Parts: sequence; structure tokens; C-alpha cells
Amino acid sequence: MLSDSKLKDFNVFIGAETGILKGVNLNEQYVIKKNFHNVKALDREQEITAIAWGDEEETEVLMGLRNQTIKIFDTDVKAFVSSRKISTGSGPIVSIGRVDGVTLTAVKSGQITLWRQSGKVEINALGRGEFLSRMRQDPYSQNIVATGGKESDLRLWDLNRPAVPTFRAKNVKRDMLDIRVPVWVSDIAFLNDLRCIAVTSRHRHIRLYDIRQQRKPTMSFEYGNHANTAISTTNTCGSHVFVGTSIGRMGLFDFRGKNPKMPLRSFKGFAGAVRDIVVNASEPYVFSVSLDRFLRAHHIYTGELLYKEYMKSRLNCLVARKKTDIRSTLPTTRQKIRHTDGWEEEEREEEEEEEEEEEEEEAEAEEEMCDIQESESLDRIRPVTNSLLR
Amino acid sequence: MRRQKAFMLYKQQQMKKNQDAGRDKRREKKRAEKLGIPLPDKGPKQVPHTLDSLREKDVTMVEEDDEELYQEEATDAYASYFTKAYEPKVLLTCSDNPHKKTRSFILELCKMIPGSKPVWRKKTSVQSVIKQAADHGYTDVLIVNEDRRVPNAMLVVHLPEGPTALFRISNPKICKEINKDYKDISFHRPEVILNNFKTRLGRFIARMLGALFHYDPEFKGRRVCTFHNQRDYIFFRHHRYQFKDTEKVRLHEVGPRFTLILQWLQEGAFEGDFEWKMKSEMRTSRRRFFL
Repeated sequence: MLSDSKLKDFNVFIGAETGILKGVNLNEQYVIKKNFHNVKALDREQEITAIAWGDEEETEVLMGLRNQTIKIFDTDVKAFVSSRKISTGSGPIVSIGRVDGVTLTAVKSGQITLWRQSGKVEINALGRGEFLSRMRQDPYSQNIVATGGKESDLRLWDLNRPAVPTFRAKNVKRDMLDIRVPVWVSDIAFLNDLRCIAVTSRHRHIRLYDIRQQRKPTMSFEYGNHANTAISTTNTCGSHVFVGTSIGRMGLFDFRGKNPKMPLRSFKGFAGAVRDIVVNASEPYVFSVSLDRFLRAHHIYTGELLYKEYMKSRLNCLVARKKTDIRSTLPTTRQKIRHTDGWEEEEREEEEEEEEEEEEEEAEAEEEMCDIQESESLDRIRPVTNSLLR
Repeated sequence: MRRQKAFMLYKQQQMKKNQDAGRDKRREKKRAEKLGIPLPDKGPKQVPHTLDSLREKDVTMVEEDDEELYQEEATDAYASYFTKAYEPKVLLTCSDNPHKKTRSFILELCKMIPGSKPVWRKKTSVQSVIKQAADHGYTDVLIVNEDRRVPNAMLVVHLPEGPTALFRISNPKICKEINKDYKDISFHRPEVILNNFKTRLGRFIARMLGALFHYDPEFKGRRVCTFHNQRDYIFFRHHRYQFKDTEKVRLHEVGPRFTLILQWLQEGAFEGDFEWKMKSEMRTSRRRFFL
């Protein structure tokens, strides 16, 4: 595994509001941060609003910008390989993806476009809503996409049959005052184990749709007092989701649990709104970016803050490599994470800074060194408690 | 009663002890001067250990020559103010049924901030105030809230698209309470001093507060408004100055006096995501400051 050069590469890519693509190499020994843009050449219109992997091998990062430009970053040569301006509808690109090597975009005004060379496929996913806020692809069949936005409830589309949606969600019943419950889908996640779709809304709702059963949500409850902004599934349990809010809370929910409304675990350390959550596919870590300019990594089972890094700009979205090795991912030297702001962290950061300066210059030359150091520090890895594993 | 007497006696003894010690020191010094003995060299004066000087290291502290920071500031919501593209026009309002102190507080703020106008709230919602103000070409809205007849919070909204910040006001003093006359506040545009804002958040807050005032001060008025940050408390003072000679300057305090404490900073105009919010879990140490 260590021979794989990608493990030594940047493992998290972050899109910032200033338009900068940031690469982070989280490592046991040191941390490398890098901006891939020339800062001076950017403006407000080049804000990165969507980010996704372009291929299975994770060599390409797709980026959607505010001014409807698709940019592709090659992680092997570490350079931008293409930039293409699209013109459909209006507003920023809210989501981006790939279907069999063909780029798929969704813009705020509701147009979902598959840019095939033989002729583009376009869907107007908005209906009567105000704007689109998110499109997500089904990770198991890429042709299926789910959309949602303000006053535009969850819809599922098959890109092979773009005329009508395959599923249209129905709003919940009127409330006790006989007032219609407003709809504002903020993020969508596919739960493959349950074959269900989980949705968060800016009106605080978390909903679970069983698309084979009914059009109304099978489960709907509220979380906190502020808008929910992001949702993500976990790799370990199909019925678990992470939900982030606009005030900087993140909770882990279990739809199959006894009391699904109560979060199993709350993740702390946020000062600003959680913008995007990504769960590491191979290890029990959850990465999140927030408006307070920090990248954070929490441990899923213990809920402790493993690591946080100041990224200088306000962050919008991130992608993380699926295949990462625990030994090369995160600093595991810290045992007590609760004292994140105490002297332990300071000391560690100072060490890191010193090392960072040295090793940024000759990162490649250090690779061999790394192997040795990593094998030495195997003993220090904290074991995951099995009782918490489901 | 007995206990109190004992305490008083103890205090008196202590005071006497201190006085004696001081007197002895002074006598010693005098004697040394008389005899021409040089005083022992104490070395350089040491910096006292205060909460401020022992402040915890913060990664968000602003560094010099940070390209990314300048780039962001050149494109953020206040960029057009700092390029002098618009003159600030501020709407001041309050909560419903303001009492005497809040009313005078608002009027004094109005006199202090050039291009501002006080408006009765008339039970309008904050969203409605913001919308109407934006329609009438205002660039900022200040809403002063009161509790127990005393101003206790201030909401600062930048129009048309945010950001919004909520400050708690503590220790507000209107002119009359500090024996000043609000008529002394001249109509000249003041200078603004933003002091000791060191982190990225602090810098943004400083920009926000600075952008309430006109960018072009009239130095003839010799009026200066100071926002001084110390341990996350933003002290506001309003002075008129006079240069006596090249070294000495006279300060005469005018106008209201208050302290602001940041509660939260929101991205939009009273809507949207929070960029920063004070939480109890963040208060890990007395030496940790955010501005």
C-alpha cells in the first residue's frame, strides 16, 4: 500500500470562496498546504461552488465556478488542464459530476446538462421552485441524479429518459396551525443499504424518503434551531448520516435507531457554518469544511477532533481521496483530543510548522524517510473500540 | 461586630506596615542621593504579565504581506467602501417603545456618525427594516435594542447583501451621564481609530465598524472616534483633540461612551450562514481571545 504514490500525494482538495483550489496533505509527520492558484489573478466571479472527482482513479478534480466555468485540475501533473465556459440558464454551478467520462453540471436556475459530444442532454429540474441548491448522483448507478432546492422538493431523474422525473416527492402534511410546511432542500445523500434517500432542508428538517414505498417522507424530524446545510453518508453503516448546520453543529444520526431524532454523537469545535462534509471511505474519519476558514477531521466513533487546519479563505466544498492509509493520513500522535486548545496542540503545531518549512521544499526527497517513520509509529495508533462498531 | 472590629484592626496594621516599608525605601533613596552612592542597576524594565501579554497563540492572527488576505479584502463586501466608491448612509433605529436613555443614545450616535438618520421602529420586523432601508439607498443599518430601559445590544447590518453582526453593549453612558453636553459634538466628519484588531475575524469587524463612518475626515473639526479592542471588548470613546505643541496633545472627551462585545457574525443581511458565533465550548481559557 505504501508503494502507491497517491498515498503520499495531497489527500484533500478544498474549493474556497476566493476561487482558490487548496490541496492538503494530511500526514502523520507533517502537514502540507498548498494553493494551486495564482491569488492575484482571481476575482469574486471565480468562486469555486462545486467540486468532484473526475474519474475513478482520482487523477482529475472537477470544479464548477460561480461564473459557469468548468475547470479541471490534474493531480498527477498538479496543474489546470482545461477550462470551459458553459452557458445554460443563470447563476453559479451548484453541483458537478461525471457520467461515463461525460461532464454533468447543474446550475442555480435549475438546468441539469449532460455535455455529450453527440448532443447535450438538458433537464429543467426546477419545476415551479425558486432555485436549485443541490444535485447529487447515485454512487451505484451514475445515470440517476437527485435534485432539490428552494420550493423545489426532491426529484429523481434518469439521464437516459430525461423527459419526466422518475420520482417526485410530495410535501408533508400541513402543520397543526394548518399552514403549509415550506420546502428548501439544502443537501441530499443516497443511503445504499436502505435504498433510501436522506434530505436536509434549510428549514431545519431531516427527512428520509423510501422511493419504493411512498412519495411522502417515511421519516421527518427537526434538528436544532438553525438551517441544516450539509449531509453525508458514512462508509460503515448504511443508516447513519452526518448533518451539519449553519451555526456550526454537526451530528451523527441513525435512521434505524430507537430514537432517530436524537443525534448519536455531536461533533464539536466549529465556530462557523458547516459547508461540506466528506467521510473517508476507508477509515473512520469525517472531514468537514466550514465558513470559519478551518478544515476539520473528526473521529467517527469517538467524536473527537483529530485535527484542524486554518486555510485562510472561507471554504465552500471539498473532496477527499477514497483510498488512504491510516498511517499516512492523520497525525495520530495526539492521545487526548479534548485538550485541543491546550498546550499539547500548541507544542505539536510548533513542531509541525518547523517541519513543514523544511519539508515543503523537499517533500519528494522525504518520501523514503516517511516509510521508515511510519513503520516506527505503528504502535502509537489508537485502536478503534469494537463495541462502538455496528 | 467583633469580627468586623478584628478585621479593621488587621487592615490598619497592614496599612501601617506598608507605609513603613515605603517610608524606609524613600529614606534609603534620599540617603543614597545625599552621599552620592549610585543606585543599584535593576536592569531593563520587565513587561508585566497580563492576560493580554500572555495571550494564547492563535493561528488566525493576521500576518504582514499576506497576498491571500489582500485579495480577499479587495473582493469582499466592504471593498467598494475602501475604494471610496460610495458614501455611507446609515439608518439608526431601536426596539419598540424606546425609553429616554435609548432615545438619547440613538440621537447622540446620529450626531456622531455623519450621514445617519434616526427612524422610529413602529413595530417593523428586522427583515422589513432592512428591505426598506435598501430600497431607500441606505448602506448600513444600526438597530439598538434595550432592556430595562438601557441599551443592551446593537445589530449592525451592511446592505444590500450582508454581512450582519450582533454586539452586546455594556456600560453605555450618554453625554449627560458623564457631564458632557451633546451639543458640543460638531458636525464635522470625524477621524476613526481602529485599534488592536489582530486576528482575521478582528480585522473584518474593524472594517465593518470603520465603514459606518465617512472615509474622508474633516481635520478642521478635530473630532476622533476610537474603537479600541482589548481582550475582545471593543471600547468606544469620542474625543476632541488639540495640539498644544509638537509633543503634547490635549484630549477632551465628548459624546457617548460604550463597550461592544461581539456575539456573532452572519454572512447575509440578517439571514444565511454564520461565519462566527460565540459558544461556551470556545471559552477554554481566560487567555484565549478571538479579535
